[in-house]
Amino acid sequence: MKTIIKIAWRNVWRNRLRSFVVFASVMLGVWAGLFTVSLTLGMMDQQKRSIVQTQTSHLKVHSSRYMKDEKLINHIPDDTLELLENQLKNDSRVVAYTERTIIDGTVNNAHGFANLKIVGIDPEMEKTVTTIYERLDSGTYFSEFKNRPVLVGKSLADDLKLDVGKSLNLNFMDKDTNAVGIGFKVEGVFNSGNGTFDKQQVFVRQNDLNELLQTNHFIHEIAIICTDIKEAEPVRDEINSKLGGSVEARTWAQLSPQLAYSDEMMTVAIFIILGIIIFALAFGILNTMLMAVLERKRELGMLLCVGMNKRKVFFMIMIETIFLSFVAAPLGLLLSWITVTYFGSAGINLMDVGDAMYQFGYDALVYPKLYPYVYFMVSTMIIGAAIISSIIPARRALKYNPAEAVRAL
Amino acid sequence: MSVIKTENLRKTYHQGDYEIHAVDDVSVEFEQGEFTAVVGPSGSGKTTLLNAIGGLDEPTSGKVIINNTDITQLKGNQLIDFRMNNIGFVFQAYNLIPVLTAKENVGFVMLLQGRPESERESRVEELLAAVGLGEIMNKRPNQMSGGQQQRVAVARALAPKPQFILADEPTANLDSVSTSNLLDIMARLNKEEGITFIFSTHDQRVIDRASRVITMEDGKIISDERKVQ
Repeated sequence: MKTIIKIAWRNVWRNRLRSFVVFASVMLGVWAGLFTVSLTLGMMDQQKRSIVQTQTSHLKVHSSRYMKDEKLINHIPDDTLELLENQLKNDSRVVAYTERTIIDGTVNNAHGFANLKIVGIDPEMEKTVTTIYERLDSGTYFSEFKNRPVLVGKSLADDLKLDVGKSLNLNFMDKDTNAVGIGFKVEGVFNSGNGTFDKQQVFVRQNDLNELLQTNHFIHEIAIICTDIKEAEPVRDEINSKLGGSVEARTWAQLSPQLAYSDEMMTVAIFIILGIIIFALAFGILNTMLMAVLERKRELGMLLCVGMNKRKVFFMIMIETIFLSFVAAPLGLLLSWITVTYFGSAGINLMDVGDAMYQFGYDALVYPKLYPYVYFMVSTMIIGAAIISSIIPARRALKYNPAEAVRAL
Repeated sequence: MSVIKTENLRKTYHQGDYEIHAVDDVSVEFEQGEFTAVVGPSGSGKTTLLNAIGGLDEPTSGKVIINNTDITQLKGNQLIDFRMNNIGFVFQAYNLIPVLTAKENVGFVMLLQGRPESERESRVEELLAAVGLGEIMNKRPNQMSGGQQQRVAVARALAPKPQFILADEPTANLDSVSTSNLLDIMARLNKEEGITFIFSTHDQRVIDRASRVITMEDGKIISDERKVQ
């Protein structure tokens, strides 16, 4: 077997140019595949992180009545709120939570009108859960303006030509269903990375809102961040088991099923992208090896004549094909690791398509990302492809009639 | 003593509606230590006869008996093993393994036989010295002349100590000096070690050195002459 391996290895280097072309195509193919996957994973991961950090958190709790009808009066009952707060404070899996007052309303100014949700927040509490305060394109985060400040999203600001210091009117119903229309001053313009979200929410101080609503600390939503996103489900289950009926907790995957679905689909997509690339590479290798077997017909005939049995000939061709794949594949994996590591920290700026990406909830700066399982998966797929693509040329070699093969031109 | 015997050997090819009898009812015996040239025009059946004797081609009918074994009854790996242990081959185009050195090429069949390294080493060095290539045993085929390559091929054929050597037009690609050297070596090995050689050839220089000349035409043996040495 040692000699078979030695011959196979040397055969790889017989036609250097052709071998280098195969190496280059395998290496670049692996790199291109992995880099594409890393970009996609990076974008997905970023979108997921962005949505979790700005919209869904790891989980949210609403009153059961609010889930059916998002009315002002359907807030979390005070006694339940107290129990819930105690539970969250004593749960080591919970890192932070924030309480929000949410009402439907409209905004208008001289430039237009829009339906939206007015979210009343405790600015300091909110900072522990969301990253809106870090995502300001301009202005400040509830620190400069004393009188009814509001944070508006970038896309809403663009539509209504709003800027820091400008006024807008927020319209909504108070507790007694009286129409309220009142001016707020834009203190900051945030950019969550998702144009739709930015158009549909404005953030005001919870105290201002409760005062205008004539309510006393109505809380409609509690957003929670856990030590790990995987803790969302057990924490949800515990809340629902203890306080179910009055409130209902839902994880990020329930709050944004589209995100959860695309997260699941991504694994399938990765398999498909890599599968196509490796399938193409396997054909390249197969073609090269078929050529090699054809060119070496006389030599293979001689080997069969002098006593090399078919099993050994088969293995020799198989090992040669596998060598051809295995020399280049680790280089492709290494190149991928280097580029993903570099761009994973430096980021790739896709400003040219940034606007379109923003509308779909992606940042223009993408940080490619690859999980170890993807490297493992690619290595396994390459091994499989190399073995499969070696079978046809190896079988072809066995079909040679030694007497004819030794006389081949 | 006869080491090879064919009985009513026949090999028929079909080309469209035609039947071509490449070897037609040939019965012949080869004695131990003979230096035989099988001659005849192209298409006379020389190579087909050698292929059948070497177990490379299955005859349509008849027998090939080598040391009491009818090799036409052997199949697959049995036949391959028989060839490996009993028959040496020398081809017109040398057919060395280009990625191996002269030494590795010569020792290759012994390696397939599973012979120990020490035995291989000494046998290979002895044979390469015998064919006058002791100095270039670490060169690869592309660093050797055609004559040198064919001598390596002869050494390779001899390495596993076969019963006999089948050489298909071994001098066809060689110049006269190389041919003469090669024939000298083969004749010496034939005389000193008693190895049986069977050539198919057109080359008069080979025919002149042969102790027996079998002439074929249209698949049949038309003459079989033994020279008085």
